Amino acid sequence: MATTSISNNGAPSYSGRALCRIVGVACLAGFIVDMLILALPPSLGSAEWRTGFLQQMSDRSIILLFGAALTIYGGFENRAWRKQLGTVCLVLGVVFLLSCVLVVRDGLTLNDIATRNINTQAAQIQSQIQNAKPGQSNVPDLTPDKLAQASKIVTDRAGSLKENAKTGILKSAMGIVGNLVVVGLALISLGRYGMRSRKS
Amino acid sequence: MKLHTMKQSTERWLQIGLKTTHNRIVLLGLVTVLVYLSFWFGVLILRSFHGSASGMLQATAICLGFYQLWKQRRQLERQTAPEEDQLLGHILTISGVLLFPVCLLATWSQAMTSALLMALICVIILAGIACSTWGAPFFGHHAVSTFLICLGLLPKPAEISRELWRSFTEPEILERSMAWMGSEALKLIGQPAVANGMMISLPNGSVQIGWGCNGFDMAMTMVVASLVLGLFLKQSLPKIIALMVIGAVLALVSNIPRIMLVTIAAVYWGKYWFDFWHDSWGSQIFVSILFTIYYYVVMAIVKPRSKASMAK
Repeated sequence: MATTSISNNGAPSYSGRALCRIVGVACLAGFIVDMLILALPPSLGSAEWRTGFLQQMSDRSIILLFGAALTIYGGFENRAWRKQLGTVCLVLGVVFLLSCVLVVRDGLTLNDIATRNINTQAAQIQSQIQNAKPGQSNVPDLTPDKLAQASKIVTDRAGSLKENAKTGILKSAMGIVGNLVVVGLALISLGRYGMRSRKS
Repeated sequence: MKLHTMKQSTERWLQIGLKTTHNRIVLLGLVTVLVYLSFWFGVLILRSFHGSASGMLQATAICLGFYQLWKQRRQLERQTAPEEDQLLGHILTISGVLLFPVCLLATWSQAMTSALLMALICVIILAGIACSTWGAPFFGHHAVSTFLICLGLLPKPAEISRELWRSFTEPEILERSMAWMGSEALKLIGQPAVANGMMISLPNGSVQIGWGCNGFDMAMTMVVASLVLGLFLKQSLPKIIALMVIGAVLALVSNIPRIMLVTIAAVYWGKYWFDFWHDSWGSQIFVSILFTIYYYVVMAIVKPRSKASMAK
């Protein structure tokens, strides 16, 4: 890997930059190992897996940012290296921003699926209530009033369940998108900074 | 004749557009955004036929945003982007253009999801074009235009803000507090009102505060209007925040007399007067009072600064 080779071939010096390089590379390597473990085995087709993966990634992404910043600072004298790393940061930042689109889409899909499941279950229970005619079943005191009451309870409960599912999904999607946007913009700024030709 | 000149100018634009790599990428992005915008304006016009004014407002926001940029075209022509901003802009534009058909095909069946994603991708493409042509400082210098264009592209901003509000607050907290404040205010003028959850009960009847009556939409409108106004008048950030908070508080406070009036109209005056105060006419009257008060407050906040700048 390019990151380890550059950290080894620098001349031994007791500067802050060398320390930054070590910590930065460690952060980056840790992030990559984490992501590999999380990503394997990949099932890109399922919205749940994608959302879970992106959530884990957005939670840990601050380590990536930290590592990238320290590595860029550590290798600041080497202009070609700085530029390469800057480009990588820029691209990663854009990928982070673009994956927000995916999060929004998956969130809406998951919400649809949850709503549909609740609706099916509610419809099943409703049909059971409809079928339970008074007098036919083995419950002696079954009146039409009680059936109507039961039907209303099911409707109310389904409504509140749907609301809860929507709220939960929206909240976690907002959290992921917020993290991804912040870290993505930070990575882009880092990349721009690293790529800037040193004029000043 | 006119068609001929149009054809000629289109050909000229195409030639300019295909000259360099940068121009080609910008052209690609612009074509994609134009496809979406023509579709989006069609939806907005259709919506306005159904009597919704928000569509026209959104179209106006987009046009106003572009007009602001057009006014400063001389200055923009001289601005160039550094190398890294160009690269960033190109990556953004190209990935947006590539994502556009993928998203369109993947979400064809769900209208709302599709519209939301298309809007996001268009924002990404436009940001890429701006970044690669004028550099990243563009967004800071032209914050109003950026904000207006993003706002105009967002599908159903009222619904999105409502969902966000609902998921981060207790259920019906605004309705319940409005009912409580309305009943307290009614008590002050000597009515025996009692608040019970979302209901205001008077001896002769009771009124339920629904989502439309809790003042949230008006407060959001005031917040956005204050933000645009503050950016337009080039105010400092604390002043803009003050304007936004004052706008929201004013909208919520002025909602209390409206609730009182609607409750009294519903309980004592009959259906005609309830409809009058509850529907468009009553709302118009209240909104005009609200905006009059708001105008004086804004002027009071903005004026010291403009006097100071005139003295310079």
